[in-house]
Amino acid sequence: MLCLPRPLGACTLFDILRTVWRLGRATEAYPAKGRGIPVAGIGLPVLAAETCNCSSACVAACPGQAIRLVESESHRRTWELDLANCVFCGLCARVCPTGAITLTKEFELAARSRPDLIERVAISAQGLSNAPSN
Amino acid sequence: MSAGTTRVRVKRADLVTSIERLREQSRVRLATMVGLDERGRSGCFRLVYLFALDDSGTWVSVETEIPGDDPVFPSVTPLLPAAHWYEREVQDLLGLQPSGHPDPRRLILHENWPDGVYPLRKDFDPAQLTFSKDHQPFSFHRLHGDGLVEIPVGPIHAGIIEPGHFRFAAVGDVILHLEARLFYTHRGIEKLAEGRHFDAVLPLAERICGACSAANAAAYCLAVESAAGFEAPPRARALRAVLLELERLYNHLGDLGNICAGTGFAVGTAYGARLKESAQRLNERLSGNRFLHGVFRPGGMVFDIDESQALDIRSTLAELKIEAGQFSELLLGNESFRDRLEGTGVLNGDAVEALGGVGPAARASGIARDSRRDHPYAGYSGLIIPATLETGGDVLARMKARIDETFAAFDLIDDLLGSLPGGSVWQPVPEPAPFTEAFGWAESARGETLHWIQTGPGGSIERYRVRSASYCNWPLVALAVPGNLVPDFPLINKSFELCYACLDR
Repeated sequence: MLCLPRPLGACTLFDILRTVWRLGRATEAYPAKGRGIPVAGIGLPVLAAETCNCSSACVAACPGQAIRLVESESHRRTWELDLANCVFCGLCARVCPTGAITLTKEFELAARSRPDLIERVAISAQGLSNAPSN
Repeated sequence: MSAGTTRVRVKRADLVTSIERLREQSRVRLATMVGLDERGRSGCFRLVYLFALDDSGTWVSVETEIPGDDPVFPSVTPLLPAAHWYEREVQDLLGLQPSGHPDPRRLILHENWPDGVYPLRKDFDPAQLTFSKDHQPFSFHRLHGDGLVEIPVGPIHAGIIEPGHFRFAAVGDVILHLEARLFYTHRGIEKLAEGRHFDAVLPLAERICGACSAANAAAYCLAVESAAGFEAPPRARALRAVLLELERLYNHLGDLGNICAGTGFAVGTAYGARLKESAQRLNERLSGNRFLHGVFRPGGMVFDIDESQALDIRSTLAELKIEAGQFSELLLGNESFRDRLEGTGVLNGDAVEALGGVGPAARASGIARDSRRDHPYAGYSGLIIPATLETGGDVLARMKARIDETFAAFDLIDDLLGSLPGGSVWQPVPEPAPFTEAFGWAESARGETLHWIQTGPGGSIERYRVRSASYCNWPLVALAVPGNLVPDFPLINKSFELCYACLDR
């Protein structure tokens, strides 16, 4: 190979090719090979039905208004989380007075239909009996 | 207002002359301008022109009241070009007319937005909004001449970037004139903040922009803390500086790669992207979020870092520093790449001064301005911030400024971690008195971002004015482009790498 003299600090095509060779391939084979999220990562928030006391602190704190507490005609309460509006900030878990919300590491949350993006948890009777009076 | 601010109240008729006198006395920079609808309390609107005195680290605000039934004021723009967009913005959003403004066109509102409806006024009712179905044209400045071609680019672009429209007038390949039309991602964040408790505004502040999340969050928290007369504990202040430098780092590494993308130097683009990815994964390990959402809150930090995390930062950055060095050699040493950058997109220092430009773009044109040094905040007080000055003002100078700042960031993080104070990382912020005015700032990767607030009752926010670095610098892009080739526009744009979302809010 013809080696031409080059000024100090010059980066030739050869240097570029050598860099490409050295760095190799960084692409990860996901989803072929699974991966998780770090310890600090925030995935799907999950409600423990028997610990919830319907304080609605999570409803108020959610910046995207993704959480609703819905009461049916038969007075059954359901906690609803709309993943389309959740920004995974973790504020709901932080403000919950009973620690009923856990931030899991689940992040593969795509759904095939809009309604499937809504997580629903029926609040247990125990939870209702703990509910603060309005 | 915030400590070190001198407030000067003047009559509307004296607005221009008092600013003129201020400029004669000291070297001042227009840092932001806020319009407020206070008709409910005083029957008037109010304008606050906030000036930074970078040489002394102080601030001066010149304020005037505008009668509610006569919403006109004398434009300061002919005297102070930096005021141009601020005055058009208060016209659009508050209906305050800057008389004598050289460019009184709409800036933010869509051309189909009805006349006479001003969203930031306190009596704005979105339910009353009706839009005309007729398409109103947007008035670009048109140039005419033989062989002149008008080239529209965007808002959907070749690369996956934010929406913005660029209207070129070119003769052959040479650009004679560029006009940018922005504000496509205006989300009304300032209005959304009104009436919310200051803690509830934080998630909005973090998400004004993805790449300046930590800087915007820091500036907002500092504004709230200032309003409450509160200072975050020393350990929190140091950690804030560490995370702000980590944000600068991932931005600059990616931006260096993006400059390569502007020339088709694919190896450089990929190299920068890898380094940025490494930095963002570090962010995720520390905070759970690649973009550093959820790291700051009024009062200090959301989390503390322990020994193993400090070690993680150190070892990741040690590797990154070596790679960044090799990356820089690749960029600076390749002649055909440099040839594209040298002399391209020259921005002269006078234009930066006239328009109040900030950040690496200003420093690359010889304007030594950096809020970490000029107006120290958080853990930067007492630290030596290297002056990464270049004078070429071209794409090469802006790239070199970023390379220097990247290496400075490695050193700053090292210093900060080596001298981390003990103690808590958060204390509760006392509720600020209603109608307190304060502001906070941070040097984002693109320059100073400044958040101005007026509190309301019960710890709420009554008015929120965000002025990001990109607000100052977008007009500079239009000045750097004429005389260059059309294919150089993406390169010049990438050398500024401004945020559309930060500007638009």
